[in-house]
Amino acid sequence: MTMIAFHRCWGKLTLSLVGCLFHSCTYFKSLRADVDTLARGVDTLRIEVRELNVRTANLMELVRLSRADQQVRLDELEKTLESMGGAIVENQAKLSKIDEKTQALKQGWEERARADSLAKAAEQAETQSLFDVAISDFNAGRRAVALAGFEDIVRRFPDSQKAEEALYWIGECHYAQKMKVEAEKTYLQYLKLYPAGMKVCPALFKLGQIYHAAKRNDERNAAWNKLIETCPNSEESEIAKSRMKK
Amino acid sequence: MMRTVLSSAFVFCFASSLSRLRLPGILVVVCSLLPAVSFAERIDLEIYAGTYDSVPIAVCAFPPAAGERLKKDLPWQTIADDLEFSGRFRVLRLSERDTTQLAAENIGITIEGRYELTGDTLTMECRLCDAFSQETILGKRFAGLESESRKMAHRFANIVYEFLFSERGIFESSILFIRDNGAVKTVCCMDYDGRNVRALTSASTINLFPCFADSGIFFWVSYLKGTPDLFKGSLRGAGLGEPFIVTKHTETSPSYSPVEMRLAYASSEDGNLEIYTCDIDGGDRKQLTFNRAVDTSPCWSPEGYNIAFISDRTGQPQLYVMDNEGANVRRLTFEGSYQDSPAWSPRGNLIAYTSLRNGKYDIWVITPEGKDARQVTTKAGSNEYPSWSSNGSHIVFHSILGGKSELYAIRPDGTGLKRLTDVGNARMPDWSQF
Repeated sequence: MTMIAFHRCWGKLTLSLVGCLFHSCTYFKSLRADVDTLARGVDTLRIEVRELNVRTANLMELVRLSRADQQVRLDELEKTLESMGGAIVENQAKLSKIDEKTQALKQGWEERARADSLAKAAEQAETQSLFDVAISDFNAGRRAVALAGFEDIVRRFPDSQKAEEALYWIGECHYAQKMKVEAEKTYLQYLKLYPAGMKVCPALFKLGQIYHAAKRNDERNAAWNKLIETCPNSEESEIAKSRMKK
Repeated sequence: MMRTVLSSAFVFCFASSLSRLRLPGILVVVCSLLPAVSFAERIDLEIYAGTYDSVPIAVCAFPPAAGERLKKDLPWQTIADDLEFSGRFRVLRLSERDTTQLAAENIGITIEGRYELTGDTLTMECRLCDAFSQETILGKRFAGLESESRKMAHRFANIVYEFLFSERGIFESSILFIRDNGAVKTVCCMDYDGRNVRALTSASTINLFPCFADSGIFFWVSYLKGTPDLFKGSLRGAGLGEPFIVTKHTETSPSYSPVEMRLAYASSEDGNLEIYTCDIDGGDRKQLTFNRAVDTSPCWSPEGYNIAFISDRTGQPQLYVMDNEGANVRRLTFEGSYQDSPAWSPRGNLIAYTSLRNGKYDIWVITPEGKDARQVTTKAGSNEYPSWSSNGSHIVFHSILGGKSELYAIRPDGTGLKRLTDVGNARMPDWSQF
């Protein structure tokens, strides 16, 4: 039994070995194929690596050149920056000077504006003060003095706020002193210069009164109709209506 | 060296000025005495008068030159009262000239004189003298009835006042007022100092708002015909007066302008009270205000161009001014809930009026431009109805300061308050021209 077993075993072993050997041959063949493939691959890789190296070298060269280029540019930029920095400093200095000048100018303008404003305010205060004195003289019966005061305002401050009122009161001074010709002339001047003025209503009324007293009825009616049309709710309008009825 | 001030003596008819006050016509000889004023002394007097706020002056009692002695209305006392009232003198009253006292009081001028009373005829010499040299600066002689002694004294006080200050004095002026006896209110007249009160209306009815006009004429409101109407009367006599404007409407609060010779008044003819003017005969009536508000209490400015009045066109009675044709209406007062009875100073610079503030009536003044409103009366009591003296130095008004309605005078700055009447029911004064 043992030789059979041995022969079986040896047979099996031999089969196995043959099998293995066959297998190994096959394996080695495939291995060899693989190795060949790998070798070919390696070769390829070598070629590629060589190519890559070349490319890399080229790239490095490019990089180097680029770096050199950039360096040059950087240098140039640096120079430019330096010069710009200098220019900036220069400009800053100039700007400072300009700023100082601007400040000075601004201060000057502000002072001038303030002075102008003060001058204007002073002028307004002066005209108001002159007007107050003149109207006080008028109310106290000092017509001639009041007239001189109002005329002074109109002559010296023709563009002031009080010039308009002063012109009207010049008319009143004439009217109060029964100088009807002068009064008429002044009221007409007032109405021409200030058609929307604050004293239009009494000016039209007084004009009508002058015409009424002189029996210039057409002119009276014209003045008072204009009064009624322009100032329908005024006291003067009501008086004119009642006088025209008579 | 003696020099005469006037070149010749003249006879001055005193009757014309006295007669308007119901006094018998008296011929008074007023002539210059022999004033002895050198040019240098005249200059000194002007400096003297200009140096002081209150000029120191002594008034010495007048001794009788002959005849009887005056027992009442002593003229030197009247002169002293007048000068003191003016507020421009510091008066020292002396029973006789006393140089020591004059020196102690720093008195530079004196008023001295003498009189002669024979029966009821009084002759009086009044002199303004240099206190130390006793030289006469100004002298006047008067002659008349003894009852005229106050008039003579007032006249001399006026002469002295005008001589020193170059403006007319008020010592011969009069005041109209109402004596309120309930259902009967009478128009009365008195001297400015409250003396010589006499009734001018005799009707037993309600009379109100007396107002001086010209030449002894006055106006007032009377209910004689049943409704308030305007009447015209004469200072020369008491009576019913004559109807001036009598309608079925209300006419009230007259005010006369001697410059314009027109009367302003309020009338309800238009349906509500409006301001009208007319001439002294009642003609040429013109309506000046036209609105639904109550417009009343007109008061002329001294030169006659403007009229102050009261209107409630903005809801409450406030003070307004317009010109004498109704144009240029402008409002003056904006404070106080009730203003009334404006009176324009003869100097033209102020308007006095009654104002109700904090439940009390007081006299206020304001400029015609509506500025610088200022309270004049400050004491307790209801102070109303102002009227100016003819030179603008004083305001008369009625007040219940002492518990009864009397007339008082005060200066516009609130000083110098003085009671003028003692009748218990005096109201609505109106001060005459000079």
